[in-house]
Amino acid sequence: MPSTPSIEVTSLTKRFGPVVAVDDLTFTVGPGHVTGFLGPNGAGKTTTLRAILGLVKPTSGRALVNGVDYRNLSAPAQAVGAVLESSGFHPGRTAHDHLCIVATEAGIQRKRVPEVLDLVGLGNDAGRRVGGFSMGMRQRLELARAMLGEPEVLVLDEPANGLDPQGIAWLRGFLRRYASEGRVVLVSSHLLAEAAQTVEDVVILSRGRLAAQGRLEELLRRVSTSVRVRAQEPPKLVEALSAAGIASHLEGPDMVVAESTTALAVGQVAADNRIVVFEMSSSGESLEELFFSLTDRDASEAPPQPPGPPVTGQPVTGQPVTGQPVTGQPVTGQPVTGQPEPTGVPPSGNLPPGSFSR
Amino acid sequence: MTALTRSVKAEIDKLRTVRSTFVLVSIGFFLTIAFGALVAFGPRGRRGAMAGSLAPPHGSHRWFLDAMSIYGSIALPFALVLGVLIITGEYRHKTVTSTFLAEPRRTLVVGSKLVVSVLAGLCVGVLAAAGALILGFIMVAGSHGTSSEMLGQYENVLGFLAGAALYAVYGTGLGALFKNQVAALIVGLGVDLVALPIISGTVPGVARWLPGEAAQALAHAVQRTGFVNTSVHLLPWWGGVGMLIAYGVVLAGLGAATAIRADVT
Repeated sequence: MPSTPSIEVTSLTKRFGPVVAVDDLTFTVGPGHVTGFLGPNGAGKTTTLRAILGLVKPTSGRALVNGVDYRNLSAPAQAVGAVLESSGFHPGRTAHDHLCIVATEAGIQRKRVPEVLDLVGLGNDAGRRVGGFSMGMRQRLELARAMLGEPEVLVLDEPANGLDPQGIAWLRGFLRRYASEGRVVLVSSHLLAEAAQTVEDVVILSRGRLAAQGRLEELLRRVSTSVRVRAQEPPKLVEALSAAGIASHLEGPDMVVAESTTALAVGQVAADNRIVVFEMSSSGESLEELFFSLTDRDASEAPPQPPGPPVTGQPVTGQPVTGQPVTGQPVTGQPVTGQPEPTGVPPSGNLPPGSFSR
Repeated sequence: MTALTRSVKAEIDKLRTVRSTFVLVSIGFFLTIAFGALVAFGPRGRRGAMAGSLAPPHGSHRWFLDAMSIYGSIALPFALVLGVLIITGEYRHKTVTSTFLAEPRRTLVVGSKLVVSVLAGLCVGVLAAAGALILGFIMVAGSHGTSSEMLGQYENVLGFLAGAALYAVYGTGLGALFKNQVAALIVGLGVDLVALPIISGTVPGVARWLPGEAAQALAHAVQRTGFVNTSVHLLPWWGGVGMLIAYGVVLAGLGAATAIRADVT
């Protein structure tokens, strides 16, 4: 077994009868940061994860964990922890008993059971029957099961489902910390904004094929966008932008529209030139846009993009913007936190189901 | 612990930690007593029905054994159901995912379940036999038989226990083949309760190869002397053992090669 944990998927193809669920998929996931496994519903995410976990037999190709087929791992539950959506519980069994059974099966000491229950915040519910658990509690219990063997590789299928905003925030922090300790964490999601708050790397799947892989930050940079700015001296801003190599034009009395750029760049130009900006919003520079372009969704199929809300609620009258662009955070590390949230999305990232999946 | 003992222990825990196991075994126990009492003491019970025939004298050890074979036939379906649940319960509640994640060697899992089904069937059998013994003592006490005579027939009790244990193995085999709980139960109970009586009445030579009569052959091991008419055509006890093991292992093997091997989605 290699010393660094990894997931390697090589030319993986899985057919269910005439349906090709996964089509010649190749990617690798390394340790150190959370990797998002993204794609619309039916893109083949779950099938791929199940192939990695030995639950689904590939039609062709391989899916290896730490260089080994899951079914040949000497201690699979100690190598890989998995949170799967469709995994179930006997409603009449207590949380404690459920985990004890898995521990026994996997050859893990039972003293881990109370530890993982405490870890996921179910310490006081250990003796309760799972039938009375909420969906969020079941999801936590799944995570507890995955953590029993203190695995070097963690695979999670839509883990945020059923969790409340606090639970999602907790999970986000937990996964980041876990990955930063040199472990592999692969998280699937069809909710872009949710995933974007957790992941650094992405593997994007479309119709069973690899659509993109890389740093989320870099992928976002590729998306061309326009930035609308309300400023005190629009012509001056157009000039300044042009000097910075950014094409822009005037619209109305005080609106400047800069093309193929980012709010970050425009804000920097405005600040450098000491131009007062009242309002700035980027349109198109959204994860959905990126997602749809990568997963080659027909544009007509996509819902109309809500115009990005103004970055500042109030015009910043009287205060010249200096130093920092209005969007607040440079796009590093947490690429999305500085993005304007799509309308209707609470800041926690707890999106209503289906927000982006349709 | 080896992988097999780990897996067997986990399978025992799976049964031990849910109420349904105890409910099922308890119902089997109480029905055995209730129907046994009905047969023994009911107004048109054993005494009346067998009057004038080769019926053994009321309260004798033969009479007790005769009654016990009837209790046995009540307990057997419970052993079967328990055996079926051992596998199909995992698919029904989707715990099979966590089972196969912890132990990806599926044949090993099915093997452990077969082992545990023996224990589960034994539990059903022990309770049913205990019920029969309690009833038997009551009957013997109220008539001219003796307790020691009755206890002398331990081979029948052992045969009955083995029958119950192997009947659960057969149930687990059915469960492995069908995976679907309802389908496995319908087939298992359908063969026992619907098909068997018809076949037994028409072609007894075929019926004795079926699981129900193979199990009966075990309970009747010593008692094939003619006073229970149906036992005439039964297999010898070892034939019953062989057939039940074959049913369980062949069905489970088929299941492991097909249904259990299939993708878990």
